[in-house]
Amino acid sequence: MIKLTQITARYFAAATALVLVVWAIVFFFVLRYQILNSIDQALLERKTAFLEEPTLPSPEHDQPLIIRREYVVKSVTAGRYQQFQPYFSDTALQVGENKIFYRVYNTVFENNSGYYELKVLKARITEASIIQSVVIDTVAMFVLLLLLLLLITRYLLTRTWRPFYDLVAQLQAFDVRSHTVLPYEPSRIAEFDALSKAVNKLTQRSRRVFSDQKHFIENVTHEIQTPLAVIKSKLDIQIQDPNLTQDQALFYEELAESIRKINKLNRSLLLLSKIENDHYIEKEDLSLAHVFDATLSAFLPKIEFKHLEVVKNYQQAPSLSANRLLLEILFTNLIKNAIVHNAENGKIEVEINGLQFIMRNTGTAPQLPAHELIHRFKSSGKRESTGLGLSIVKQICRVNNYYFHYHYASGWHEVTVKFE
Amino acid sequence: MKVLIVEDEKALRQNIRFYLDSEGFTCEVARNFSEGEEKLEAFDYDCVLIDLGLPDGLGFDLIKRLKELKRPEGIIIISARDALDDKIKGLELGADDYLMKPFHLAELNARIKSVVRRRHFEGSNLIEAGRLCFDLEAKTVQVDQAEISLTRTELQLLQYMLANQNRVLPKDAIAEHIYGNDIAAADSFDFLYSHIKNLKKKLNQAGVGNYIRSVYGIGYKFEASE
Repeated sequence: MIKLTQITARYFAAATALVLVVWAIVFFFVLRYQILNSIDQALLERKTAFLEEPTLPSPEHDQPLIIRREYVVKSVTAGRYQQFQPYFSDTALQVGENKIFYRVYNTVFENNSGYYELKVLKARITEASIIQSVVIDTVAMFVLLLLLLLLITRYLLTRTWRPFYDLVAQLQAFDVRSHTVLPYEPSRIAEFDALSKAVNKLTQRSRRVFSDQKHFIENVTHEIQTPLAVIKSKLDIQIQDPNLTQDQALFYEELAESIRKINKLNRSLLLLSKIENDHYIEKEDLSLAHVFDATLSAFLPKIEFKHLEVVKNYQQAPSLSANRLLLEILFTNLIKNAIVHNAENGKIEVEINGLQFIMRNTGTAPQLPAHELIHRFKSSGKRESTGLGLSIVKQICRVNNYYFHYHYASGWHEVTVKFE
Repeated sequence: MKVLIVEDEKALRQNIRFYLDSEGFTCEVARNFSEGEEKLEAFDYDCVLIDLGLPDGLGFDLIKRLKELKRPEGIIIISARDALDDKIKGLELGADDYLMKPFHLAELNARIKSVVRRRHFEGSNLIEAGRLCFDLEAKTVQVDQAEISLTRTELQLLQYMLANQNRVLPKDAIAEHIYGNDIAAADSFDFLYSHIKNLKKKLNQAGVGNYIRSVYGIGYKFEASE
């Protein structure tokens, strides 16, 4: 990804280069033309001056006479004299080690001695140096202009665009779960002002929606509790009937069981919603082993009853900063599962190594693949489970960025949680 | 004993009243905060049940009023909100207990009796039922003046049943009372059956095993009759 400054700089550099290259070429040719033109004019002027001399040179036949490397005179036939059209040409002469280029004006003249061809020469040295300066100046200007543009760009972007960069930073830091919205900051610049207003409105709406959603599940579950309470209490009264037949008793019991299930589901949902909405955020330093043992102690009677053997293997347990309630809920759900899905005389193995927690228990294979079990509402088929236990554990792990893994192999359920 | 029920949900209010009536309580009802306030200003009660979700005022404020007036009534909060904060706040304000909806009426009954007992220090701490006598203070049980030894769970079971005598108690109500919500959900009722079986056995040895009857399909009933 490319930064704003870089891309602006690139465009400016490319545009500048293009313009300057085109300009340089055009300028070069125009200048060259001007120079040549002025040289040619000068040659004409020199020819005229030369021919006005009182005495003109008269070289011998066929021998060109070179005067100061400025004029060359050579005799020609009358016929050639008549046909001759004056013209300009270029030539080069070897002078010592250097080759020098000349501009030549070719013409003919006549004097008392006969007909002659005249070449007026001018060296093109100045021209070369002029062109050299032009090139150097052009390059210098290009570089200067580019630097200037870059500096201006940098200045523009850092000062004028500051509100933009600030906004980007704010948006990056924005968390809809925090209780803040991005405030409206008026700006001189129309676009930034509009942007700020829009962002403020957007974040406000985001927060509102989030807040509503957050409380929606909680409100729904609360609403459900009261009608459930009514049904439950009605059932409690119905079963007091002394003339209850066995069929009626079973009927009421089935009703009661469904009510229990709804209630459990409702409570689990509420818990899941609370966990998701960061209700449990206060943290303290806890010892994994300590909290686990405390949670386990409440289940000891059940464990004894099912004759389950519990094997513990705790190694160096550093303290973990976490919410105590949440940790207890996590362990409670895991322990519950380890008991419910265990066979009589089964085993439970617990291993704590640093911040890694592994719990294994014997038991029958789950009827659903592991990954489905973890999702809400898929139960293992056992009557007592609502299927949300693992969901709750997974949710707690998700909110705290703990690693969670479950699988079943060779008669053992295994759950791994890494608290880091 | 007089109980005031402050609950806006009509059906629930009536159910509670019905159950408590047949327990021998004298019940009065209030449908909202202002009615509750009126009744409390006019009469005394032994126990007040306050629903936190009243339409026209916070249940908490009613508790505050009672405490301001230094009223001796026992206060039990009932609420649909499973909020730890609510519970703590309520108890701090001076409520005696907190019960979450939906609850078993037997549980409510037991709690009311417990709260009232705690407030009436002069009252007797013995519950007598037939040949059985339960000393709540000493936590001992005697049948025909002879003490029988019970485990803590068995004591809890018996106390609960004694609070709800002659009532059909659903097994999940008993389980919830003994083990609390979480753990009760952890398994089938085998665990409960075994505890009750043990209790019955011990009562049998003392000659009153038939006090606990099982009600087919539903649960159990304590009846101190021969």
